[in-house]
Amino acid sequence: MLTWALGLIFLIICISLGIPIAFAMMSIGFLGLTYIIGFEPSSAMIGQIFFDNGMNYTLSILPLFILMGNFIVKAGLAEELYNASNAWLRHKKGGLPMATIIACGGFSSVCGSSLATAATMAKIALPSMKKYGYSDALSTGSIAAGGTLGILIPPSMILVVYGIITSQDIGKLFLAGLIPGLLGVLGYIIAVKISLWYTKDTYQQLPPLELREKIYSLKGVTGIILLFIIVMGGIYTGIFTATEAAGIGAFGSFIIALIKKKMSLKFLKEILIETTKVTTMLFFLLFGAIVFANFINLAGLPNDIKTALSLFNFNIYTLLICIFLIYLFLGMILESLSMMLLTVPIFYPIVQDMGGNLIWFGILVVVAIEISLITPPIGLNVYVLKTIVKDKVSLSTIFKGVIPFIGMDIVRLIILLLLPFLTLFLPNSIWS
Amino acid sequence: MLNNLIKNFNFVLTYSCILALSALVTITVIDVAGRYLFNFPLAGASEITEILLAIIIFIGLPYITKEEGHVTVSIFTQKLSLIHSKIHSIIINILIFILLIFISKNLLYHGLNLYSYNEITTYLEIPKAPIAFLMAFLTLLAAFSALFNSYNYIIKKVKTSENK
Repeated sequence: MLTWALGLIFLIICISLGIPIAFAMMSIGFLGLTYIIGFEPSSAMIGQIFFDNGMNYTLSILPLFILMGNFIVKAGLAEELYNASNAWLRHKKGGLPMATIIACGGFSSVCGSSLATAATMAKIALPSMKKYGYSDALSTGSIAAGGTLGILIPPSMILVVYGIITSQDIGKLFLAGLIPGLLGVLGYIIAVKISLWYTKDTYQQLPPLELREKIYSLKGVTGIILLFIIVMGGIYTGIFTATEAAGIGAFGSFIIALIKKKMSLKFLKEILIETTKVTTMLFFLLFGAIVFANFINLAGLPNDIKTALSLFNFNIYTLLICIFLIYLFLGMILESLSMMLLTVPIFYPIVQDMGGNLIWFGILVVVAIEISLITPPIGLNVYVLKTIVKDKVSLSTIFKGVIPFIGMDIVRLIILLLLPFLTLFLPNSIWS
Repeated sequence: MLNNLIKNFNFVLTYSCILALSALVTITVIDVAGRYLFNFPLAGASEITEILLAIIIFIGLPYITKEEGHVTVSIFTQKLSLIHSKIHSIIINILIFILLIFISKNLLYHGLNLYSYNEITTYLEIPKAPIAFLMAFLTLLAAFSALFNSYNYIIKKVKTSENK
C-alpha cells in the first residue's frame, strides 16, 4: 500500500511543480515499476508501451476527429451556429443566453475543447447579450457553462480516451453520450429561465424573425448537421466503425471548408500541423497514463481499495459519490483530459468489480468532469473566461452566474445515476 | 551551419507530417468507399493506418517539445519571479531531455529486438523494426530540442545580465 500511496503523492508533487503531466506520470510510473519488478523489465516495458500504443489501429480515431474539429472550426462554424440558434430563439424570454447555450453545445462537441469553446463564444455572444441588457452574471455564466457541454456530446475526444483505457466500444460510448448530452443542453436552458426569474434582469426582448429568414439562417449549418448525422448514423447502423466514421468525418469537414471557400493551401498546412501537435500532446498524455496505471496496478491499489470498501460496507452509489467528490477537487487544477487519464485507470476496475456498467460509468465520469470545470473556487473554464473579459466582469460575478447551471448539472447527474437506461438505451439498441 | 541544419530538418518534418496526415484520411476514405460502394476493400489498409499513426505521433514530438506545448499545471508556478521562472524552465527542460533520451534508448532496444526476431506485419509483411527505429530517432530529436530550450534560456539570462 505504501508504494502506490507514495507514487500518488510524488505524482501530485511533480505535477504541481510544473513538470508536464505526461512526463510526470511516465517518470513516477517508471520509478515505481523499477522498484517492483526491476530496472531491465520495466525499461523493456517502456519501449513496448510506446511502440504498441503508437501503432494501435483504434487510436487512429484521435487525429482524425481532431482534424475534423479543426476544419470545422476554421470554416467559421462558431458564428454560423450562433446566428442560426439566435434566429430561432431571439424573441423568446432569455432568448440570447439560450441561443448561446445551444451554439456552445454544438461548437464544443466538434471542437472538443471546453476551454477553446468558452474563449471563442465569449467573443461572439457576449457583445450582443450585453447590448440587449442581460446581466453580466448570466451572460458570462451561460458561456462558461455552455463550453462544458461538448465534451460529452459526440464525437467526444474524452470518451475515445475513456474507451481505450477501459477497453469499451467507442461507437457505443458515443451513442451513450447523446441523450445525457442533450439532457445537459435542456438543463442549461432551464437554468437560464431560473436565473432570469430570480435575478429579475431588465433585458430587452427582440422581435421574432420571419420564417423565411429563420430557415435561411440554417443554411450555414446544414453541412455540419448532415455530417453529424452521417457520422453518428453510420456508427449506429453499424455501416462503419468509430474509426472509419472519424475518417469520413475528417474528409467531409474538409469538403465543407472547401465549399465555404475557407480553404487555401496555407490554411490547410496550418490545420494539418496543428492537428499533428494536438495528436502528439494527447498521445503522450495517454502513454504516461498507461505507464503510471501499470505501476499502480502492480502495486496493488485496486485490491487495497476493494478491501477498504468492503470494510466500510460501501455500495456502488456511495462509491460513485466519493469519486464525484474527488473530481470536484481535481477540477481545480487539471483540465478534463488529464483528469480522466489520471483517475479512470484507478477507479474503473473497482466499479467493474462492484457490477457497474462501464459505459454508464464513463458517461457519469464525463458529466462529473464537466461540473468540476465550473465549480468555485477554481473552475478552469471560469478562469479562462475571466482572462478574456479581463476587468470588465469580476470573477465572483461569473461564479454567481454559473450557480444555476451547476444546480441543473447536479440534477442531471442524479437523474443519470438513478436511471441508467437513459444512458444505455441507445448503445444497447445498436443495429449490428 | 547548425541553423541551416535545423531549418532543413524543420522543413522535412513539416512536410512529412502533412503527407502522413493527408494519407491517413485518404486511406480511410478509400477503404470505406471501396468496401461499401464497390465491394472491394483496400488490402492492408489498417496496417498502413497504424504505421501512419506512429509517424504522426512521433513527428509532432520535436515540435511540441520545442514549443514547450505539453500539458502542464501552471497555477503554482506562474507567480515565480522572472529569474526563478527561468531557472524553473531550464530544470524542467533538462528533465524532459533526460526522460526522452531514456525513452529513445528503449525504443531503439525494442526495435533491435523486433529486428532480431524478423517481426513483420501480418498482411503486407512490412518489417516492424524500422518503425521503432524511426520512433527512437524522432524522440532523440525531441530530446535535443528540449536541451536546446534550456540552452536558450541560459543564453538569454547572460544577455539580460550583460544589458544591466
